[in-house]
Amino acid sequence: MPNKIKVMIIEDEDAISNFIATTLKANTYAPLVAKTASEALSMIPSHCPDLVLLDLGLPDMDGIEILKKIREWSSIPVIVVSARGEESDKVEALDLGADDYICKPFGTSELLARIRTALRHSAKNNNGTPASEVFSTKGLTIDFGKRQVTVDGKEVHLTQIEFKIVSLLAKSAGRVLTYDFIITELWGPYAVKDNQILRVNMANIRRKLEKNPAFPEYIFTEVGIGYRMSDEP
Amino acid sequence: MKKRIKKFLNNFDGLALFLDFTRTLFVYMIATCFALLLNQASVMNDNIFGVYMLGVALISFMTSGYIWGILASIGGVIGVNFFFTFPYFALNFTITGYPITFSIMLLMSVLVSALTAKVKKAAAISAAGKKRAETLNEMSTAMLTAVDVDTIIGMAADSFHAANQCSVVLYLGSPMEDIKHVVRVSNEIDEQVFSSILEKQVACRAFEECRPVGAEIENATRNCKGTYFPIATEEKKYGVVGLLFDDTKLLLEDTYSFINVMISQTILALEKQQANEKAQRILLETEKEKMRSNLLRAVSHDLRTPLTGIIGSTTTLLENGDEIGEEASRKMLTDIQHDAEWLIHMVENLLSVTRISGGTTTLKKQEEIIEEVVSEAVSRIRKRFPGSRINVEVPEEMLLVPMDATLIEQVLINLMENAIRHSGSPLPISLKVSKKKSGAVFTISDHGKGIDPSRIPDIFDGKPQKGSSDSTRGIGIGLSICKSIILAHDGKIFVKNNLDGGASFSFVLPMKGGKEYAQ
Repeated sequence: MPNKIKVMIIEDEDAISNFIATTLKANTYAPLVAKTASEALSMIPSHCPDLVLLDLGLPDMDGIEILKKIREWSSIPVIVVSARGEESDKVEALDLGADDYICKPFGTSELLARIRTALRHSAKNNNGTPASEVFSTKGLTIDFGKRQVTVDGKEVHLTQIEFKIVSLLAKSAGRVLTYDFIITELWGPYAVKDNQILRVNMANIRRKLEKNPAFPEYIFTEVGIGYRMSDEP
Repeated sequence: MKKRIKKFLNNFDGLALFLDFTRTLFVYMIATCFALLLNQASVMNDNIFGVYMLGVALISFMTSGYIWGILASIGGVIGVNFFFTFPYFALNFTITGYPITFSIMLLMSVLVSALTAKVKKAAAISAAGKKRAETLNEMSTAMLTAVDVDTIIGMAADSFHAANQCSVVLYLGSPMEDIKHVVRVSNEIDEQVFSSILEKQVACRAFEECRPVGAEIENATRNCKGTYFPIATEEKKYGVVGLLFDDTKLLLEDTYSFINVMISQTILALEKQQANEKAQRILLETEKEKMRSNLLRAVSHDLRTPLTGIIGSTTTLLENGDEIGEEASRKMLTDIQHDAEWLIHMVENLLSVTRISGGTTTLKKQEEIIEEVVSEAVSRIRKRFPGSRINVEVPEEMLLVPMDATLIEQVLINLMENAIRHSGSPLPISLKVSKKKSGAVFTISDHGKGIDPSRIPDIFDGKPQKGSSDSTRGIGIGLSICKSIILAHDGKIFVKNNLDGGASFSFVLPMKGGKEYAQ
């Protein structure tokens, strides 16, 4: 079959790369496997993968370094794979240009969903098509042009800053945006990197949008990292 | 301004001098008038001496010091000579026998005034002694109730201030490093005096050399106004107390010893406090040690069991995969998946433990919005138990609670997992957060069989359950980890059986002002 989407797996554990490769094959992707950082860095330019799955713990180089090297010349989507409990690593990777992260242990469905989201975003960026004027997920609809937000058909009134946060998340739906990224986008690069204001705003947004703030449907919190807007239709 | 005038007057000894002078003159005049009256009435001449003696005694009693009594007795002798002996209204000390009479009278007056002065002084000393005894008593009772070092040094400074009527500064540790100090002053000027470099240097000397230094001590340091006493035993230096007296009166010997007693009281209180803290620390250590050993025991059993299951199933599948049939092999694969999930969960718990018992590290506490933590915990538990039903309820108000989010999430996951796996009821479990005076209260309840009341007292201690089977493995260890995490947050955790069946696990996290948890 021509035109299979090529996914590069950079992972030193055979068991894990095996399982990912099998899953990807079964889902009509073409997996490429690199066991070390040097191998990966030499393979990427020649194979031009459409997406990279990067494990942060590699034997010969820190995963973060590979990410930096890739980002020097390419914008291919990178999904970082890491163990739980290393929030600072994840935040660093995201701020350095990783498109998403996924925690070990993960299920196949979660992995495939993340890959689809990352590919969709990269396609959007490459085609240069402007993001659609209306975003919707489940009952939530955001009309960027009219600056209107509705939940189950009912209009919700958000403040200026709340709307900015929601639309920023919606434009990258499915991806996690770090606190720092959101703060820089909203308040400029020199804003104090104190996420308290952002989180208070988010708490207010949640109260306006979600039926039960403790069981959100639209905006999910990644504790210690940032927020993610749902991208389920 | 008013204060200053008052201080000025207090300091001005002239006023007291003037008052004493007036009293002396007044009594002297009355005595003279009375004597003149007696003389007019031609009562026996000898009584005149008696009248003056009475006057001298009264004066000694009413004034301070010997001097007024002696002056009055000299005046009396002169008065008798002037008014009542021939030649009248003229002084003549040459009459035979008079020098002796006058000498005796002078001597007697001096004796009387000396005696009254002594009595007065004794009364004053005993009154001061009583006051000091009361102060000491108050100080030691107050310090018995003190719970931390801050309170103790505050109380000590108050006592020094009240008992000696002077400004006080109390340094904990070396005055130069100035880790902590309390000041009790009568006016702002004194505070400036205490904070001057010179005074601090003197205080530092007292601390370094472990002996009193300052203005009131013989080896007076030049220009220094305060007097500094070390708060130290032979083994340990605690700090320095500095006293600043309004007038530069030399410290009396008994004030000095009294200050020493007060210092000993302070040292006693500080030592007691340190011993308490040490005991507390040891208790915490043993608690952690207990948890660690329980954990190790549980790990050896609880990790081996699922691993055995996984190895057994995989071996069977690899060797006899074709013979056992589709359904049986699926069943085995599901078991492997469950066991592996359980192992992951266990490893995460172990990670939490290393996070709180990692030695010198403190908890990374941050203000978290509770619904964020709750929602992540709930979504993780749903991933593991897709069929489970959980009712979540958080207050409408946004609650910010200082916590280590990863650890609290772990607690919520452990408690919810227990409720789902072990309650034995298909009814939904509930997770409710509410705001109480004591802090944020998290309650996880189920509608299952509840908990055997005999297990409630030590359910959080991680003891393996009697006759524990594989189906209940890990409850104990999970709960003991919950307890450690909550304790590390200065919170509380408890369990009770609901009236309408099932069990409720609750924990409270202090909302604000919780002390930083450090080892």
